[in-house]
Amino acid sequence: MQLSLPELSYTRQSLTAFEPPIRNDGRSIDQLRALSGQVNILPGAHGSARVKWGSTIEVLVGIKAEVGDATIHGGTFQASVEVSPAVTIQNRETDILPSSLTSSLQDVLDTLPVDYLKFTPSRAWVIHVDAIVLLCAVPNENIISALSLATSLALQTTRIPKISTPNVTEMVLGSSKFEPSEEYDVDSEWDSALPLQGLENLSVIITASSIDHVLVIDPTVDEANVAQATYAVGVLPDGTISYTRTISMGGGYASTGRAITGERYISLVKAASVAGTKLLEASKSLLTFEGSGFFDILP
Amino acid sequence: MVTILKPEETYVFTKEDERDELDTKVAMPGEEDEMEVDEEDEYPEMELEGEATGIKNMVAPGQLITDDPQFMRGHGTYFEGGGIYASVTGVIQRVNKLISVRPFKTKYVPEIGDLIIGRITEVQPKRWKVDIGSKQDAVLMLSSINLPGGVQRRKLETDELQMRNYFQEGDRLVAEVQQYFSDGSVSIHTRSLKYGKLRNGVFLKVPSSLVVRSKSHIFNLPGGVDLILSVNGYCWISKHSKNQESSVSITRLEEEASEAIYSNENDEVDAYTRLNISRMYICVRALANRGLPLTEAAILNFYEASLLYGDLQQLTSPKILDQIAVEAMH
Repeated sequence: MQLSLPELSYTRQSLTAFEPPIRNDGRSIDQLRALSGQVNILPGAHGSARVKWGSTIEVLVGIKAEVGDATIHGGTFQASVEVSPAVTIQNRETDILPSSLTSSLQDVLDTLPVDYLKFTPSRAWVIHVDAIVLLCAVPNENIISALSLATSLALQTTRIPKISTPNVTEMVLGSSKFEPSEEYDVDSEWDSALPLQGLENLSVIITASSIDHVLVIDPTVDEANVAQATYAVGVLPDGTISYTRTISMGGGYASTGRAITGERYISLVKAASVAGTKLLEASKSLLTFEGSGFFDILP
Repeated sequence: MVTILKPEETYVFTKEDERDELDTKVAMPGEEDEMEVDEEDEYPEMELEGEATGIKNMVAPGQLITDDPQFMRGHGTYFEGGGIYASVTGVIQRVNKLISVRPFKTKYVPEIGDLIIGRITEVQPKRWKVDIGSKQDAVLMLSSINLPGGVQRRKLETDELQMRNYFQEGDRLVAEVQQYFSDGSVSIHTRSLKYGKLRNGVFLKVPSSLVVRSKSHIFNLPGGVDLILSVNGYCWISKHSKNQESSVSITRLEEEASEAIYSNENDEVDAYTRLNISRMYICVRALANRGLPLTEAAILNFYEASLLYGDLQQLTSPKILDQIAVEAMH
């Protein structure tokens, strides 16, 4: 979606010529858009979460665990992101939006430990993280932030059945053959289901832009269009950065020849880290929220 | 500020609001013929019938409208097994023997005389294609714009070659719908000083079904802010401009239609006006997100109620906006 020159100029002036910078939606420069969420809404999934990011993005993540083949590392996390037909009809494996979102989400999941998911030599849990983008009202909007938050919430509420392996240690005397057992029992009691481990490695993605001398967190599309550079920063619960990725380097309108210096980059990443930890702290209270009910989507 | 909560619906529609909202004229003979309930019908709309006296004859997809063979089916319906069923959620409209359903949520359908905001998507020989949020892009002919130098100025060949001097891709403009083409697309014109390129402000999109058609869609609001709320749901909030104040005579058109009307340069907009523009942006978007109709009165009430909160940052909290919405609707 192309913006007109007067719009770009207005947005840029508002951000750079005034102190404090004026954003079109009234936020301060380090404020995220209003979010809301729900967990445990899909009764058929082992874990689920739904996140509304601002009034323009809505995503739903469901976690299903199935018993599959073990890899050398143990189990696997598999991401799959689909975009609802109400948003776009692209959904084949080769279409850009779903496949780029899937690979970004897979990058986030690859940091999780998987060794504890294996319970027999050849069997392990395969955790499917399926996401669907229900609403994306503005093209080129930042969906990955909402996806990472929803995934984090969903995984934190996931409970997988407890597996017990019978203690078979039959050693045939005189024979050097020892075959570890492939048997396992699944405990069907809901209360004895176990949470996933290692979720402190799960990062939430915060976007940040640098517009002249101003750093803006969670930029909207028009703000990102006037930035020199926009980054996606993965923030862990303890505030450390898991990764950064360039979303765009402003050419065209914003190319004032001002490159991103090292110091600038560091302050941008620091600001994103602060915002990310705030977000993860606040989202913890959702996990203990005891509300119920299915709500209607309002645009 | 981050709030992670279960979303709550705090504004509850009352009967008076529904009756005020609806401007549909529905002429239905008797309720027995049309509103028959299927055995499998489990739509909650039927329970609403008693309470919501404002919304008569509302149907959901799959609901049987009538099985009387004398009626013909129109838009929004389908025929199956001897009966006419609704295919969209909406209100039944009947003209003599023709039954159709007018959907609640539909892409904007242009009508002649509508004031609309659009965005240039293509530059073609002697015309531009403009996105107005309907099924097809509108057409803006080179002959339908004001050429700098006066209303009597003839179109020169150089104008055709330099169309981007006037409008280029991405430009936002306000125009009026002039006529339909045979394929259903419309032609728009900007032949008035009220219309033309938009500057000094921000764009906002709201659902087109929330915009109530009224006499005027250009509002001069307190705080030095203009709001253009067009019927297709596209809005423009900007610094107050004198062009929108009064109607223009022919002589003034000659003086004023200079190169400046196609300039891409914004005027100086000071901090006070910018903050008010942001405030108006928040107000209009808050009303739209809660599904409330966008009338001048509603927007003004909301804006005035929001003035209680001097700091714009407080208005970014959905809870506070809910409170303001409840106050403004009473």
